[in-house]
Amino acid sequence: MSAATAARGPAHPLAHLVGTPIPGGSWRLADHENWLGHDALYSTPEQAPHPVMAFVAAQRGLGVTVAELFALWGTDMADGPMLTESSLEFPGEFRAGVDYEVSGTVESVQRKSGRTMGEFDLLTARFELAERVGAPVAVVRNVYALPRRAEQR
Amino acid sequence: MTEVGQELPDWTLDEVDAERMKVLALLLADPNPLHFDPAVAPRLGIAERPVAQGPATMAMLANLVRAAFPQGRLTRLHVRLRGSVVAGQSVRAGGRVVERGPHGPGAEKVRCELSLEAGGRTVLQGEAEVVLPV
Repeated sequence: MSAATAARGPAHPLAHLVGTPIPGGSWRLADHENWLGHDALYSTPEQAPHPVMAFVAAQRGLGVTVAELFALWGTDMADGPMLTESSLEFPGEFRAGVDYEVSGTVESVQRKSGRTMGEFDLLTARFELAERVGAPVAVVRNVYALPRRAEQR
Repeated sequence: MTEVGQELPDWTLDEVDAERMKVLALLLADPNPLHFDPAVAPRLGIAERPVAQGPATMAMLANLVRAAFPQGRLTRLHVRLRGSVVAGQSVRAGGRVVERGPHGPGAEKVRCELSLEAGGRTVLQGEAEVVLPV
């Protein structure tokens, strides 16, 4: 759902987040973390990072903790937020030992309901990793299911 | 030669390792104990053993593609998480080529559909794009 869709119908309680930036920060994949990342992801360590380390970079370079990120979206870790979709795109070369600026925005939010989770929001966030000068080398787009059980009580 | 319809060689793992989940939890700075404390998943009634992080299962599909195209560059990976993988399970990643075409001088782009099975269920579906030298 796009921001425009979010604006139709009853105002979504998180509609104001669509298009707003996530705090952001910077992160460098250290050589030892590169090695550990390969090993943790069942891959033979090599100089080039495992592609999924771009996900790690986005999460580590957010400028806030994971718990703080979900709190920004009105969700407590204890509520059980879940990753439901993820995409990694590499318009450039993602490397270890390079400082990357991490930026992010909320792309969309959509209220849903299901048998297992009850009422929940599907929130899509987009993160970019870029060197200080230049285009993004990696784009991470995640969709999270954020339970809203408390709102049903 | 890569052809549309071609099956990728399976990527398999005999046993998902709880110790690797702990390392990944540190790398991700992910405080969710579901991934490292063996008492939590049973207590919540989710599973008998720790649950692998989404990026861990996503990596298994990336590993499949990287093994199938060692000369290629993964330019896109998209996954939909449909279920959980827990420590001790065996997994099988598979896929097939669904599209190929030119990608600038001296290269082609291949698109593949992918899936990951664990415990007799498809727990992850996705697709990947790889740029290959020709």
